[in-house]
Amino acid sequence: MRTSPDKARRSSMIVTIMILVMAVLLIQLWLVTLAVEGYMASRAALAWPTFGASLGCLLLNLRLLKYVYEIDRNKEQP
Amino acid sequence: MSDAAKGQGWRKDFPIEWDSDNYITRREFTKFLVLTSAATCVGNGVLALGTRRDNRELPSVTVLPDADLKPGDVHLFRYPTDNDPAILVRNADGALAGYMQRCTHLSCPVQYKGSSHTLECPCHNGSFDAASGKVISGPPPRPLPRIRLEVRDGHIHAIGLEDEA
Repeated sequence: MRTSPDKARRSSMIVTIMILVMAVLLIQLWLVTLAVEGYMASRAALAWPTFGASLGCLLLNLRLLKYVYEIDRNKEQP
Repeated sequence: MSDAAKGQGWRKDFPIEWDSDNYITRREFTKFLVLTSAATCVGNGVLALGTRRDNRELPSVTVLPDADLKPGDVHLFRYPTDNDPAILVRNADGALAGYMQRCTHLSCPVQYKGSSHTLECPCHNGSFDAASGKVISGPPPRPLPRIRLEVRDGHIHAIGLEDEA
């Protein structure tokens, strides 16, 4: 069974996850600017690859969010 | 020196667990970031779908009789819909070039300037080569979208948009 992390450890973990999510979100924002640029120029080549990459980033963020919930669940265990 | 002596006796009266407080605010902010991430992904998907819709088959439109356009002449028409202004140019060598008339900077209509054989945007002095549609000077970030043309049965037809290189 996983041991319950203490407060300091939980705090550092949430900061780490928050920074990772921010980094992934920045990549997504860059991808959406590429997609907008392609859309404005009627260039279809980038539209679906950027969407696929953005979807991958979202899945990664959701996995990180699940990890946040796991931290909370472990905290609530006696 | 005690907390009371330092004027921070309130810390004992209102004992706030700052670690827990920080943890909760950061956790909630992380959730908000993931929500933003989802919204960004949806936006990307909408753009991808919009690009697919724009790539649908465009109509073939008869512009004018081929003989009516002499070298150096221009003709304004609408393509692919009545809301899309377009410009047709006959170059000095007789070659035809059709472009969407909206400047790629802020969508002002470009106008042909015969002396320099360019398409000029009057709003911000953008300039495009009339033969290729490429930007010569000014703020436009991209060449003018080029219309595919076909001469058939003595008439010039607009048959679609060229993919930008």
